[in-house]
Amino acid sequence: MLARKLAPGRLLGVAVLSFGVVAALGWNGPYVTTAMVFYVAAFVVVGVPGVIAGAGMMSVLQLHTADEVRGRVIATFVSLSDGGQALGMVLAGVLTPVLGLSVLLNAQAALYLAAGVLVLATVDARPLLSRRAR
Amino acid sequence: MLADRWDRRKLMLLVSLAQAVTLLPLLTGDLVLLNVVAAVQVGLAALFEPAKNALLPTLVPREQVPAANGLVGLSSNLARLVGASLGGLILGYAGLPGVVLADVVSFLLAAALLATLGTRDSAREAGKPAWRAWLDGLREIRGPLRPMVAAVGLMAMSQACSWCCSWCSWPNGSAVVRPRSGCCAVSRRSAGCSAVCWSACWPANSRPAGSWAWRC
Repeated sequence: MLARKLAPGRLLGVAVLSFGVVAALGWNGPYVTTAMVFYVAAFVVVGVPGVIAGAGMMSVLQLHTADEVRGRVIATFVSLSDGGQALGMVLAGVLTPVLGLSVLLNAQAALYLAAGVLVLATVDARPLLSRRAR
Repeated sequence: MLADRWDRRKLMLLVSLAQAVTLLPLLTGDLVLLNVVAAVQVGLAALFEPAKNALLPTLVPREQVPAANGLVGLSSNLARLVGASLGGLILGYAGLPGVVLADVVSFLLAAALLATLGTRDSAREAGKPAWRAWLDGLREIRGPLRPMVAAVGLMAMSQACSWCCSWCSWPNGSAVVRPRSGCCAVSRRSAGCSAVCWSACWPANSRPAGSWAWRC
């Protein structure tokens, strides 16, 4: 239903922002409560914006790309994502002993929030389809 | 690249069949073959996924693309959830050959469904060198897709960061969590990040001496 109401860029931005907020709440939860049910709920709830963000991201890529090159553009973004994950793992491994686990987990939530703001500020403001897309 | 050159539906169908066939060596139970099969399956999936995602907008009206992607994502996650449980059940009842055969059947079913898909997707740009076609694809990343490069990079790094830290802090393995003090000490030797991904939670003079948590 959300997917029908919101433009793909807005859908992606809102979902990524929500993911960042829920992640931040979860990582900082121990300051407020240690009840297991809170963390189970947080991990369940965070799955909802996760799925929506995936759908939004793919829709933006599909709708802003011409059919002739759609496959390679999507594959390029998947490669970019894989490279980003490798970099993120290395950075997390190197920085955790220096900064601490809590800082890194909060940095994770902050990165999601930054990505959400970036998408909302840039992607939605452009035309939905490029000239060559169909 | 192949997803743009060939008929995407046929490519997906052939890949599904190849995935079914290349699972069969697992029936030998050879550990080396297990790694080879895993690598081949990942390679084939890398062909399947771009073709699937590139084909979808040609199957539904433009305004329904986000909803269709949502359904695909949901069904994919549900299938992973159910598949893992089902795999455990089959393993218990029929052993590894049963799991392999069930997986082969699932790929064959997917191929049969693709065969019934009523769409034609013509081949394009057959004569262009592969590197040139790839560069053309990169040039298409413009306009609203430019900021998407940064957004996707940020999300991927963030995702990997949480995996690394979550694996390390997961109680099952070798982690100690002290949420009451708002900090934790973790180590997980089985994870790839074990050597570096742990955090000192207590002051140095109050570390639990001899604890496995500090023997990473």
